[in-house]
Amino acid sequence: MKNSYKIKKFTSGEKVAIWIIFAVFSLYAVTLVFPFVWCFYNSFKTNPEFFGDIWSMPEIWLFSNWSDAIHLSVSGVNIIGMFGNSAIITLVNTFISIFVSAMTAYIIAKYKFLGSSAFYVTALVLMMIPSVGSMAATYKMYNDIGLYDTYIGIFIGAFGGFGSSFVLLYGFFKNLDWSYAEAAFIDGAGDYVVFFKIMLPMAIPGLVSVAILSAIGVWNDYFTIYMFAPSKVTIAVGLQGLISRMQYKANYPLLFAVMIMSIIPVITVFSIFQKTIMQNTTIGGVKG
Amino acid sequence: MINDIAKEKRRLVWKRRLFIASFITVPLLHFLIFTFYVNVDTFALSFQKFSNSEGRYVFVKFLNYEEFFKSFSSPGSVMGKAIVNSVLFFVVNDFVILPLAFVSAFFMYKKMPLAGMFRVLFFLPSIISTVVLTMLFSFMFDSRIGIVDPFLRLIGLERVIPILGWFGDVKTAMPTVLIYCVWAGVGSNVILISGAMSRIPTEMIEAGRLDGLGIFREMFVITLPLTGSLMATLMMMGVPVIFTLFLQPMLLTNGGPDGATYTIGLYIVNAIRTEGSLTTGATIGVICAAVGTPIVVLLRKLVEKVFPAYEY
Repeated sequence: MKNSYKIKKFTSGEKVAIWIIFAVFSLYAVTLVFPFVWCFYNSFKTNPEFFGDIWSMPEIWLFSNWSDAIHLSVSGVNIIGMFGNSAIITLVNTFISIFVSAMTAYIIAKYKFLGSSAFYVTALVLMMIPSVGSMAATYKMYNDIGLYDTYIGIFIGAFGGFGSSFVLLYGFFKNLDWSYAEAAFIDGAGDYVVFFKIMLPMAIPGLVSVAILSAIGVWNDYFTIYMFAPSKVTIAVGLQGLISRMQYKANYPLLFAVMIMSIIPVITVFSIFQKTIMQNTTIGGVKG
Repeated sequence: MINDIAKEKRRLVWKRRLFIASFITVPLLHFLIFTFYVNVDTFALSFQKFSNSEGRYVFVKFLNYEEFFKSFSSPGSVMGKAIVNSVLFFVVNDFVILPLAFVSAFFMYKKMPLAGMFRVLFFLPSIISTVVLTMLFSFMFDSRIGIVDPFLRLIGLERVIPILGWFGDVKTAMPTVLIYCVWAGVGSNVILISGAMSRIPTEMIEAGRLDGLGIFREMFVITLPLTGSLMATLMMMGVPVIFTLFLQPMLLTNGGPDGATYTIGLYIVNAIRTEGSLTTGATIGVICAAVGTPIVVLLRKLVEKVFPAYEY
């Protein structure tokens, strides 16, 4: 009702313009959603049925593609292994990166020490500097010290404290009331107690939203694994492997099933935390 | 007595210093290794080459740079195409995606019908893996299972369909990759710009309304200047795209056909990963930093002039 009231305030020319834009928006929205729907219902067809008519609904909804998908493997890792790798890497990397970012953001936002103000600026500048240029040296270092193609190598990458999570959490800690901490200090609490028992629990809402954003990023990440740990096939890397294999042996419905499986966790998290995710999206926050 | 207090004070200062150190050491070490050392080593690598006979990297002076300029200046070189394409990605980001995102955010902010639903749907690509998005996009443009070709036939534009496929034809491959970037890239910017628009004081808009300001004038006279500093920041963030974008063309075409969709970033990645030539990758990295830094600084000055930050 509120919408129609708003529209009435516009002139007729403006109304026409708004409805044209509305049509364009709708069309664009369809191009975003339809491919997923199309893949979803086609994943219940057999391959011949799919090529017989790529637009029709399946005659019989077959679940065989979904169960067959389990036998697929890329570089010796099957689908269950891929989901396992994705889950482990997402959990560990998100935990490490949020923990380190929170500690870094806290210490820089709340304590004054030599160079503390320079760190925030450095972090912002670092986000602007392309890391592609130094990739060769990173790759060489990974090979030289035996981190290449290891879980440890993947996890170590998460220990950086100056990413986009840092920028978000810095703002969050900066705005947190310091008077609780002061009261605790007067009662004789140490710095660690204040951080772990008072400030960190107060920061939980901020930490959760940053963690969700970060986890989505890790789950979707293709390049880090492709570049630094190709045998630790995650679902993103595995899916790309299956796509390139399709050029030789096309079984599209099977591929669709794997694709839909790969996005189920992200879509679930997004539908639960949609508001938080969208509110906390910052420049370079999710896509990366 | 006074001595004891001083001692206690010093003990506390040291305790606090240790606390700060315990928090900052890990990120600092990570920074020193993964940013500082790696960048220094990039510079060093650009003056080295791997010697197979010695089994290690040896100093070769400017050989890598000479090779780069030789391959760069040869006619029809992949590097030349890569540079043009990389700049194109930047242009599309700053002058197609961002304006589109701005207009989209504006109409959502003006409470057009279903604005809330559009905002969520437009955001969808931001949470989906680029692997999935590029796969879906190539399906839409596929000649066997795609929806684009039948649609064009339906509206009588059969002649524009390339015989080799949208990604196979040298002429259409790069525009199609750019269309992908627009398709997948508008949404996350919409969210950011919407946030800035919602902070514009309503009195300003109401005052404009009373003066008979139409929504299009409002968009340019009130909304754009007041969200200008965010737009400027987003445009600035678009500059590094020239040197960093590679994942989209890598997954869609892997630089093909005939190098038509290469970017500088993809050139570096493929030099490292497929050719194993780390020194080539490092050399291009150094050149990018040398050329890119002044460009970024200059553009930042320019953007700040065009979009001054208004206080309100």
